[in-house]
Amino acid sequence: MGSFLYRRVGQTLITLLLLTLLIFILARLTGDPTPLIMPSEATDADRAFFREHYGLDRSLPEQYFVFLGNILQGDFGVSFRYREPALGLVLQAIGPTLQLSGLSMLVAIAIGVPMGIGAAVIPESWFATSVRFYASLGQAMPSFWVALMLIVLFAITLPWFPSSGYGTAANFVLPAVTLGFYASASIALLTWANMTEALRSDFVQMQRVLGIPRRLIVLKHALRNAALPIVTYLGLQFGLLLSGAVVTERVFSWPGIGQLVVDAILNRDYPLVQACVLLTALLFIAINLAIDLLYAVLDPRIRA
Amino acid sequence: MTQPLLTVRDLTVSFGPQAQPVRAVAEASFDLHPGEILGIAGESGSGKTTLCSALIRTLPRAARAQGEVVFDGRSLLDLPEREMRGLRGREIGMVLQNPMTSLDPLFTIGNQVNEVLRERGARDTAVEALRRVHLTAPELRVRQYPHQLSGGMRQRVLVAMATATAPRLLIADEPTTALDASIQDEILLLFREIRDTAGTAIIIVTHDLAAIRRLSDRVIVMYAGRIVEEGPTVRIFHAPRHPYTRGLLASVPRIEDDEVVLQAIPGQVPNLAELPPGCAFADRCPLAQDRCRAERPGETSVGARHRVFCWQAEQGA
Repeated sequence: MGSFLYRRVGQTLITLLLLTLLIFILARLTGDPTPLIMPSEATDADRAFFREHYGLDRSLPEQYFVFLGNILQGDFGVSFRYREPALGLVLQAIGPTLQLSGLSMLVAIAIGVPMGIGAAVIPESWFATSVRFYASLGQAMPSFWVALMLIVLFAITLPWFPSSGYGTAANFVLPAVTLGFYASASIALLTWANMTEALRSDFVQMQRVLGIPRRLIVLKHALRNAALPIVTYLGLQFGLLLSGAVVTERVFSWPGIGQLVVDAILNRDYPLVQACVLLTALLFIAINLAIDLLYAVLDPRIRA
Repeated sequence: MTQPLLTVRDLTVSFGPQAQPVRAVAEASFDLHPGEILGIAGESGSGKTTLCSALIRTLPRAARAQGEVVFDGRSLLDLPEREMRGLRGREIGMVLQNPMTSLDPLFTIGNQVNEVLRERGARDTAVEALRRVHLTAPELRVRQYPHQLSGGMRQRVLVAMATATAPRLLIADEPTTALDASIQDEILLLFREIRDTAGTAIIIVTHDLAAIRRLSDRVIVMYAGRIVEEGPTVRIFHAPRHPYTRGLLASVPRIEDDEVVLQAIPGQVPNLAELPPGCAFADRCPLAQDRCRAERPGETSVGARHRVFCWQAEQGA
């Protein structure tokens, strides 16, 4: 268990280092921010001063090492646009994003897992057919379209929920359903496939002939075994929700990191882009690390 | 002779369309008495495992079972699933083919054994149940996971679970096939001990003739879904009457003049979907005649509780 932990954390650190390089280069590829930041009447001297002030006149390797050194001290630079520390802006936005994606995950699990279990237990039934239909629908409909349809239906036609904004519980409903619906489709299919496999395994057969009640076989043994790949997938799905939320956040004007990063990219706000992407990545990695550790808790064979 | 514990009459298990069924087991009939050990021998695909699954009704959905299975006065094929579940494990124990994968890898041995004991309302603790099957260091094992145990140990755990409440019938499907030779003997001894102490009737299904010879009182030989010969173990091994039984016995490697002799039965097991009208073994049989190919042989009694399904049974006896 100890060496497993060290190895995992070591891999994580290397991944993070490579990530900083990638983000640095990608941000530079969007072009020179100076014309966007400086007013059009600024003189060449003003522009040169801006470049010098933010270190943009130095060579790229030099800029990278300064960037890296600063990050290690927790300094992600100051947003060109907001003139505030980028880290603070990101941290402000990351809360709403985490709340939304976390809630969406819960919605997706609460819908997808029971559907998958049910379909695996009674295949070739009307229930299994509806699950298949639901899953194709969920995977085929783009989330921006689902979001718009939900707004039309439940914010305009039936004014039950607010169509945008953040702050009250009611604000969460439509965006969380939008994201959760999408994720629940694949979770249902994955649960279905894994449960079917688990229910076919030798130990389930053995438990059946031992007369163990079906409820225990399905919900304790088969589900726990099927849960291993599902848990891994949930980690990935959570990452997808973090990044996939960009579109949904825009549609619902959610003050999250998705909104922030899109604005930052449009404005070539390097420090903010870097901070956004890096922190999202950090979050993603942390979630996957947590999933791996959870995996070790669930599966005694990994602990050994 | 005591009343049979289990009576099977014309048990047929078929798959596929009603009009052209594939019969994995066809018209099997036999009795099993309390405390008796019955060996069922045959190649893979001969219907041994399907027969066992049919007895305790764990056949795949697609299968249809017909005939009569009477266990202790109850007709098992007609019993509601609910009552059947009460019988499984409690009165009829079963050990499946692969001990390596028949335990849930994610729960401790203790957890799984206790689950069975609790289900039965047994007073034994898991440690006691494991001690009964001579598992070494049971106090340690209950805290371990299946992957930490050897195949033989896992088989003991499974036997402990299957016999937790002293069932009257224990069905063991290839209980030793996946184990090392030295462990096989120990497991066979364990089965015998269970019979001797609890009076459990045992059906042991295997293609391992040596195991059957060591353990069972009576032997059924199956070929292509049908029983071809049945008799006391001594008779079957010393005076086999069906050409297939003889072939099967001859195919066990033996040593003659410092040389290992391997005598395989020529040909292959026929496709169950395209069985000939006559004897299914005719194509591979050295004694086959025209009648064998045209007409299915009926039962011939060739001694006390020894019967054979073969037109040529009278020959070469």
